[in-house]
Amino acid sequence: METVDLETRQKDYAVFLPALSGFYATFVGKQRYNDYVDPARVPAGFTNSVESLNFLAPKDAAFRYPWALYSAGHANLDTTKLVEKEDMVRNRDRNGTFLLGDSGGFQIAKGLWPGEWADPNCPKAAKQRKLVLNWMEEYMDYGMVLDIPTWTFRDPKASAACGIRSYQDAVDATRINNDYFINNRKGNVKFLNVLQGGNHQEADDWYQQMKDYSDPNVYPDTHFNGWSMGGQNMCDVHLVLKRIVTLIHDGLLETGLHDWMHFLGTSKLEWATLLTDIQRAVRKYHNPNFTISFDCASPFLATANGQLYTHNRIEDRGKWSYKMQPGVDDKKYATDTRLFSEVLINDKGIPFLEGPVSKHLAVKDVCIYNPGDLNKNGKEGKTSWDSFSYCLQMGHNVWAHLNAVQTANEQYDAGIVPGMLVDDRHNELFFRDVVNEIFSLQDKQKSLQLIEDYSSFWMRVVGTRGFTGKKTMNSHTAFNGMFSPA
Amino acid sequence: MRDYLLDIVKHTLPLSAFTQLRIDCNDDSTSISATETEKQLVLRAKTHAPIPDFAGTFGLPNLSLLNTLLNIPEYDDTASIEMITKQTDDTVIPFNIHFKNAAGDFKNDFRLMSQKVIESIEPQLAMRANFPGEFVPSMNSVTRLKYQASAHPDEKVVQFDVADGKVSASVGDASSHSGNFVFQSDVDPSARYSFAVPSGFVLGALNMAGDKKICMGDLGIMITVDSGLVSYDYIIPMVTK
Repeated sequence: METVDLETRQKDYAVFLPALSGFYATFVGKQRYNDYVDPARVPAGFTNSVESLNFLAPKDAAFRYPWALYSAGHANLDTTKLVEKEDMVRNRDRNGTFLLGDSGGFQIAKGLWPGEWADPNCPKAAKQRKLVLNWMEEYMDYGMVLDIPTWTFRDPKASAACGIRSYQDAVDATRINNDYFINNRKGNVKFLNVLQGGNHQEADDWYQQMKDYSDPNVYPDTHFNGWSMGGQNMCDVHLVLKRIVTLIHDGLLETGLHDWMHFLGTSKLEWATLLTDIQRAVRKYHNPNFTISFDCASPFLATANGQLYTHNRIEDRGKWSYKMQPGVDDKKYATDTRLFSEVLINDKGIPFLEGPVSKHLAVKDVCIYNPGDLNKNGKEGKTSWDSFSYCLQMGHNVWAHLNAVQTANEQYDAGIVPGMLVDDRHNELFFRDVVNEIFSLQDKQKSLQLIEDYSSFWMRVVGTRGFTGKKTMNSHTAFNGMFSPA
Repeated sequence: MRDYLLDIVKHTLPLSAFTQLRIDCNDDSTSISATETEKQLVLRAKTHAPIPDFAGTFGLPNLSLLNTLLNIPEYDDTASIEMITKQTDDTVIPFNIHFKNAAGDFKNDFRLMSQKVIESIEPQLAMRANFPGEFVPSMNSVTRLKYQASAHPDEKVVQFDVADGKVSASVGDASSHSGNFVFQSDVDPSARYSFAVPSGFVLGALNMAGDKKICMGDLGIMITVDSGLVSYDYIIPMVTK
């Protein structure tokens, strides 16, 4: 099988990390130990069996891309036992791949890891904290600290389950976790200090309360090694730029000490290019090792919802996106040997961009059930897909997302610009030029003033969630300061 | 009751901010409160005397319908507009407002929201902000603010800067078209704060009929309009990122 090399194509772009699904990894992992998938079920073009879907593998996969994110939130944290379904993660090539571990703070915030997290003596929380740290040390290159998002206390059910009842509880609980990580880390994994906060004021406060954990003067041997942007920090470019300028002048973005910054849950295609702009500017003027990564689970979640990545929309001064639509799910194709893509294009009229996974798929590889066939539960279902059909389409969707991100960067470098990154009301003002100017200034106040001067420009840049675009300007902070429940 | 209802509708509906009003009645006065969905405007109003027939806590929904009913000529001064209550369990609750023309052959019922429903939508709030800067705006300043806002229709906020004994108003931003003027002189020279607020709500409140007063603080602006029947406080929290 010819391997499409997405590693070389990555160049100096900000690094997208597919948030690897446990469902997907299970197929790769379990197949190494037994025929989890019947060999006759594997598409004929997959010369390396299910391993052909392992994009972390050095060779013999449909495509090679050595970067990903994996979450402790859905991992088996017991490092003392063989866990076949996690073999793709646990037994990867450690020298040729990079895995960022998400900590599971989301699981705490959703009440899925119950405990009194703001209580340093809660045994349930202490046990989970230890498991996560140990798992990170064992299997990850970088890991996020166990942060508690500030929105946790607004969900009454989750708030009750995890004992986080206020913004300050979230801060206190995160500090408890950070202290534990600082005091017990062995040094096998580098940690990212997670920044939360629902608006600029909260984000500033959070930063002030957490920045010491990354300070080599405070923790010379055990300080955290980079940053992860959560909450409003990950979707509001105004706040992103302010924070990075502040980090530089606080001595907390230093070469060899704090080289990595991750943006959580970022799926907007335009952000792939603007994060490259920021990475390049910081590398040029401050830290040549500085690397930005960003993740989302869209390729996997889309498949779970029956959606297939089909093509990209990248137009100069337009809105950029990767397009998805429902794929083919019809039992009449169960004996059809035509290419999957041929059916999508000719039978369904779907504009479909062929990829290194899909080119090996016959439509019968996806639509596996004939009318009357029974599924693994012994029943005839409505769908023609089995669970491996989902896995195959996830493989395609991961490639398609990576291809979209890399194509976006290539087009951006060729002078094609997304609408949100240029203001041509008066003259052509490009995002990349303003960012370059901000980081070229060696004076903190001048950089911050320049960021403020372009306040309205930043509101053109729509983020993935939270208050983005024009909604970044809102009354919520002042309202909460003015009023309290009677 | 008609005069009160007309006064309330005239001082709320033009703002296009509120989908319902909360009414709380006691022996001394009637309170009216509402919060705009995005929390950009809060209304806290109090009548100078209790509104006849109003009792308890209830909600006034659909202000545009209420406005339409109040302006139907059949419901002039000779018509009957009265509160209808309903007995539930041990309590009597406001149920609807019954409109009937003088001849009794033209009627409408305007349904109210129950205490339970309005309390869930519009919970009572305690104010903890201070507005130390206080002045009566001149007609000229209000007119000049309208000029600036109309010159920058794409700009949704006006910035007020209080410093050196004066209040400056700015519209627009440094990267595009902008304008500014002195909105008020002779304010406390020690006061120093800046905030941006939605210009539509500032002008909307300043357009209301009645005696006006402006109070400013570091979290926003409060515009008080006294219609003679009701004193309305329009509280506009500043917008921030």
